[in-house]
Amino acid sequence: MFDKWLIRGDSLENVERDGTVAGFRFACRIADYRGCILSLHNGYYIEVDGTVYPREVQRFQVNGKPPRSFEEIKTCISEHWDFDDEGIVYVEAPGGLGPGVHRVGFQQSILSSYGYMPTDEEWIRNPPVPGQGAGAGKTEQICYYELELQKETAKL
Amino acid sequence: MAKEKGHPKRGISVYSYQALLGKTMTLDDAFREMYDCGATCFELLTSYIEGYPNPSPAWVDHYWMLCDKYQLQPAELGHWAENHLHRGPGASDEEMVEQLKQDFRLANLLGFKTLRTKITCLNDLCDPEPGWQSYIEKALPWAEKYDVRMQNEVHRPTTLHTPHIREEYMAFIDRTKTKHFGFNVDFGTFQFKPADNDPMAAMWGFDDISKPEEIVEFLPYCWTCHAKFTNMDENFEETTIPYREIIGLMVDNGWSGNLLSEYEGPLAFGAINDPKAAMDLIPDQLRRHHIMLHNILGY
Repeated sequence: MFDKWLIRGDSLENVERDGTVAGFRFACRIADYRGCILSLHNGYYIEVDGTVYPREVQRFQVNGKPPRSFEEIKTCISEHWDFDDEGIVYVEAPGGLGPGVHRVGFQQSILSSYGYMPTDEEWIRNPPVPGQGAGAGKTEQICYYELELQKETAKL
Repeated sequence: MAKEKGHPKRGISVYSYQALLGKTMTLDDAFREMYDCGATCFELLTSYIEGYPNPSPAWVDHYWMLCDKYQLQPAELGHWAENHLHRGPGASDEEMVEQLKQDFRLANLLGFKTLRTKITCLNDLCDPEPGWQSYIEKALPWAEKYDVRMQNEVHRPTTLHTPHIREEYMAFIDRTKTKHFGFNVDFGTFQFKPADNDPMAAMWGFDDISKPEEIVEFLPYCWTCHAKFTNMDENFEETTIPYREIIGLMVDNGWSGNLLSEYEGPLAFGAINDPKAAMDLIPDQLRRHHIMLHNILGY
């Protein structure tokens, strides 16, 4: 729903750790009107200027806690991501992004559904890879944004 | 002797504004809109509660200020009985009861007497996952304590004659004699044709739908219904659901529950690239819907 509004337009920035640029981050919202229990959040399809950054190099920050990997997120069964709250997606990418405008492809994977369908059983062992369509929740398609890298670099 | 006529309350489900909330509309704006439509009660979803399941006292105070300012009565809290939060075995009955209790307590704090309780189901027809009776029954004393009624939503493509409605849910009510479990009949179950340009319409077809007269026997177990609609025309008529017939039956059979407008038309789903149109048209559809309800009910 309104996928084009999911990433905040002025939120793309590089992230510095121990004095070197280790990656980038941006702020996004959850597409699903239900919000979600955090354990059901399964990561993102993220593509920047044609390069895909898989779930394994992503971390997610929400609810005032430090960024967590999606391996850790999947154990968070008593924490909620509110519908109207921003989360920050961190991507490990040594050197970060260059200045200027980047074309960012984005699809969210939220595994909450209205029921316990056969796919859900399969996803316990083998969660879908974000960006393939399966488990995309309410981001029905990969959405593309033109985002300008902010001048400030975030420090971790 | 003729039955005494019912007086359903006109309300709105905040879900109707879901495509706009948090983007062009705040919860405060939604309350002002509902008031302006002439609604007197509303549904909130747990996901719209900031800090769910533990909203701050400041949020709760603000919420009550909105109810007071816009003269809106809490009607229904939409929540989910989630039993597959682990990537592994489903939740135990005890875990489910804890989860339900938490939502009952929250509903009570926020003034809701009814809940739309989404029980995990196995398919599009919403056949419930076996075992639901066990945790729902264990939660009944808590529903009583917190003065809330769980309602299973009868939602398209489920009909009032889908076997599980009678064989499972009605059988449960008969056996337990509970006053804390029933039905929210979503009027989409009566929808006989798609709205124009509705990308969701083709999904289930219109061959097997509920007939308006089927609702009568369920009314004693309904406290809140979703007055689902998909298309209000310029003459203030809904073009896909036989509204006059349904509401006529409810009123004639003495039903005085909460009738909550729930917009789920093509704009709610198809507006991805046209937020401006949605900003104008979704609130407009709700206003038209309330003019229709006013015309039918006379208030």
